[in-house]
Amino acid sequence: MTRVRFAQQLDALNDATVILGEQAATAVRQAIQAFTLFDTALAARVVDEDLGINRMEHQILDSAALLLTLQAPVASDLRRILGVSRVASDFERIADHARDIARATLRLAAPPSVGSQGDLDLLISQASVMLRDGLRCYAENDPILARAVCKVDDGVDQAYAALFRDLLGLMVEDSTTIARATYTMFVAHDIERIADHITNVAETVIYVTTGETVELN
Amino acid sequence: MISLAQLSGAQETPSSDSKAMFVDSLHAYYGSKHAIKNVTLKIMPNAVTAIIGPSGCGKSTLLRCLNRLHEVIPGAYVKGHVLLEGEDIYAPSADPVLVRRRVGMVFQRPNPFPTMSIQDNVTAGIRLTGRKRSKELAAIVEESLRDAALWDEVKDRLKSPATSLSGGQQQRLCIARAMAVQPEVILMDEPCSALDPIATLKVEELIADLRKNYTIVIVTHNMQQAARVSDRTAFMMVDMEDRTGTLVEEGETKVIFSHPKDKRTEDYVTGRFG
Repeated sequence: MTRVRFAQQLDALNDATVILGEQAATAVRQAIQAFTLFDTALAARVVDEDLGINRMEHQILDSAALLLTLQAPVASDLRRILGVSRVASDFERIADHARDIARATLRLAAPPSVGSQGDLDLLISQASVMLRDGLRCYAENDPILARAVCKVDDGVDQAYAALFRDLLGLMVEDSTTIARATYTMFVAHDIERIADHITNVAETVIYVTTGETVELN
Repeated sequence: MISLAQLSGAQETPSSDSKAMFVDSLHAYYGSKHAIKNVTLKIMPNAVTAIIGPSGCGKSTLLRCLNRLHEVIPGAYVKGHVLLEGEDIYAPSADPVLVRRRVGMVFQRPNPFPTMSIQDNVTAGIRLTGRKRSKELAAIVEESLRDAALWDEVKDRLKSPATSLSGGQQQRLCIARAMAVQPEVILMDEPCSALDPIATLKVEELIADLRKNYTIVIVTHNMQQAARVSDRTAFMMVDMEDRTGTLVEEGETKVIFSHPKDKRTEDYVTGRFG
């Protein structure tokens, strides 16, 4: 090993990106919890903490640009740094969606329960599996897990479509549900987008580990 | 404007194999020392092929085998074949002087003839091979110096000594001298290692332009230079078992520097050994 310092810098950059991913995942968990339990204090905290996540993403992108400039990396080193840049942006966007879920909670005047709880629960549970395994496949450089993660996204899309239909029907039947159902729809959309970003993360893991560019969404 | 397709390295396929070289099962020796073994390599026409690898792996030896300069060293010889446009340059009937005319060489240190003027340096090779009228020589001087991107800098002082030029200019003069005899292939042995960064970039730009008319093989220690200027890259290293230089992998430069097939290539280009 001749580039010891560079290897350490790469590891540090990677570790920071994993931490960013964990923070984004925590924000998502807390935002969904705040929404389903109508916990406005927790929602407010998720909104506040998003700034820190944005700052962390900027630091990671700056460090990645610096390593590209100063170390002129190639091959797997280059893919690793390109991967960090892409994944950091995806994690930051995931945290933004968590913040949006939290904001929707704060705008609700009453608890969001509007029926269709089964579909919402299914959407949340599938997206949570993707989030957990997406983070793991990135942290462990596991392209096989990455492919498995992307397969779950189809289930998320189906759950989202089913929930969407149910909420529309609900609003047509009972106009008093429109406000709550609309916010639930926004939240469901955010969750569906979070799953898409996890798919991006998994595709990046495949690129970083194999050099192959894939489209699994 | 460069298109995205060009940026990603999509190249026009050469129409024929003229100016192509084919190295076939080549071994090179310095007396009893086996320097490189069993190299088989196609050198694509009108493309830049970079040879990279750690010191002592046989890069320069391989390069010097491509125009029969290797055998000039006492005791040095080769086994195997090197084809230029399908003809073996090591065939008994092949004339090494003619081979070197068709396959020119630019060396590490600029080596203009110190007692000659700029224009006489350019025409030195031509004047050796026969008389030409001064008008023709003047045209060749201009064309070669233009091709070497040096004309504008020296057109008003063609009779000045070549040694009055800067290092970078001297190296481009040597490239002009190599081109004046109209070779098909130009070999470059670390042509920028004695130059400053700006002169290096000028020579690199020149190499990119020369590809239109010549097949170029460049040996370089600078991997970023190989990545910048070449279309294809060959990676050599020493086989630790028998201490002989060997070709590990050859392929498109973008592949070698993004996802090489061989782990040893990956370790070398990422700086993990060498």
